[in-house]
Amino acid sequence: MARYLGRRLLQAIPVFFGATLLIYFMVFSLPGDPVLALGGDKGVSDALAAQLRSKYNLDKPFLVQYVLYLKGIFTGNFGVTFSGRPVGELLAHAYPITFKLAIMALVFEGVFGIGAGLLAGLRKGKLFDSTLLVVSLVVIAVPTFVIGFVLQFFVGVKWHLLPVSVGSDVSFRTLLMPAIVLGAVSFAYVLRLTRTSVFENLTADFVRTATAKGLSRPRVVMVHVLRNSLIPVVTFLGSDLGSLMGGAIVTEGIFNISGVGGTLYQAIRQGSAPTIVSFTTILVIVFIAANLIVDLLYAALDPRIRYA
Amino acid sequence: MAVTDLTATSAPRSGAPGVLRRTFRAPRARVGVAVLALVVLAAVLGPVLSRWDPFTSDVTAFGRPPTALHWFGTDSSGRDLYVRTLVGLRTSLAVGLVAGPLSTLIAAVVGAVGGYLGGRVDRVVVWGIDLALVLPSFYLLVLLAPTAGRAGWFAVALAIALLGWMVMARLVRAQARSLRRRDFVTAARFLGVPTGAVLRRHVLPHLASLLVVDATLGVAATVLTEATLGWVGLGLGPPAVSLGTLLAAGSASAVTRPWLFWFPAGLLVVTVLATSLVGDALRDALDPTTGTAGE
Repeated sequence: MARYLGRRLLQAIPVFFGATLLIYFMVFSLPGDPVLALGGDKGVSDALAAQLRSKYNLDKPFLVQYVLYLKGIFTGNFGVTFSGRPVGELLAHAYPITFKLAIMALVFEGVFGIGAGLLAGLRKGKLFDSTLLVVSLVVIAVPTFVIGFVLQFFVGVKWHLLPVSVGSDVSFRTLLMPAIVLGAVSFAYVLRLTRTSVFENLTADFVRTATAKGLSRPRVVMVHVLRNSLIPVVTFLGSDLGSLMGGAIVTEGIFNISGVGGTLYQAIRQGSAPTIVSFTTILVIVFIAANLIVDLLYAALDPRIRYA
Repeated sequence: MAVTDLTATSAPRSGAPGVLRRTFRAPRARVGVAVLALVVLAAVLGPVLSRWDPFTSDVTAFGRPPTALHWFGTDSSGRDLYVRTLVGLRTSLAVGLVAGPLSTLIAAVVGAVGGYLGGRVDRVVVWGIDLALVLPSFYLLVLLAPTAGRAGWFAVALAIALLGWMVMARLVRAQARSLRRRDFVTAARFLGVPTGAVLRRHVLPHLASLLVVDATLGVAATVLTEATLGWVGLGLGPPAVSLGTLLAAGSASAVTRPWLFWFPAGLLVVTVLATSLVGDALRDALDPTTGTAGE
């Protein structure tokens, strides 16, 4: 197991460098000159521009900048934005918020998706199942910004059940509606995945054996069917943590949350390279970590998997 | 000749007509195809039926709700929303129809080459897939969008396709790996068929059902992505019209002038839903393991 984990970690290293290099290259080749843009219409004098370029290493070749940047990241120095704020400060502010939001969305989609999927899988072909299936298709087809707008309008504005937006008040209550919106699409996927998986396992040999040896129906369903059905679902949920954190831009926009999405969006609009690169690098690390966790969970859930 | 080769080596259960029959047995699929046909028809013919054009203003009607004259109402500069929505639908469908199949094509080539060739090539392919999978793709899309949006709808489609092929490539690779050891592939190899031809004639046809489903669902996903990009404000640049740009403009006044938001949004949902229904039914019909084929 430890050896397996070690090998996966080693595999993650070239992936990390490749991904960050690619991101760095894309940001680097963005059109527009951030130094000149700072001056707006008035422009920036040549001397000042040169000084800024050397301060932010913009005068060095691409690969040198990349290496310098990585060095900074590993020593905890994420650079400063052009307005002088340390990027580390932005990261420390935005990431906990988005992480909280993503975890809440993950819990929502996991609990409700698995629950509904299990019920549908047990009643495959019945009215309940087909209804859920259509509902899940609709949820997938309706864009997040429409779901968000509708929920915000009715739950927040009309019925006053939950706060309309988050702003500076980041709490369970304010994040509840955004989390549901963020997790909605994945909820539909979890539902469908669980349903298919449960249905397949119902006819598996080990389930027939469990029933034949006299176990009660609830025990067969919960222990034998559900546990085995969860293997693909857990894989999905694990990798979804990264997608949720990396895909919160719309939700954060609707509910005015100053998390990763909002900050990154601003940074991209302003062409603030240090912020873009730092935020996306951390996202890459989150993705890689989530994948590793999935691998470990896989082994815990499926006794057939043994890592040599 | 190529066609008989294809049917002889792949789809052991039946040819294309059987698949279509099985697909259409599901009522969901019939609804999906019918609605999708209507949507496409509306996109092609709809704008012709109206006397307005998408770019000129009706100076007698600024920001009016739907009337007999302007079926979907007008926007704040007096442009007819019905025509704009259907012209926008054309663009969105074009983006979807290019990006969906294109990302499937990338996945098919990358996955099949890696899985079939194995060895060092495969290691590079796996690395590439893993790398692309850990990229925060929507942010990269946001990063690329202003440049692509200025360049036109094709560039937007290209950007979406380039960031969405990885999951499928992983699946194709796994399938190609197991196909490599099958007798008919080994036989072809020993007969001296060049690698490219083996891939084209024996490996990829075997994966055809997987690829068709992925391409169909990819169209739906792309239409959604384009709309989301537009909503974020980073879709196509003016004067281009797509569902995304309309939604971006409409969502600002979704409460005061709801028709500006709900007509494009409704059409978007209907389009995506119909496409997903078709894709779903195709998957059920093509995949023998889902067990619904005979229902």
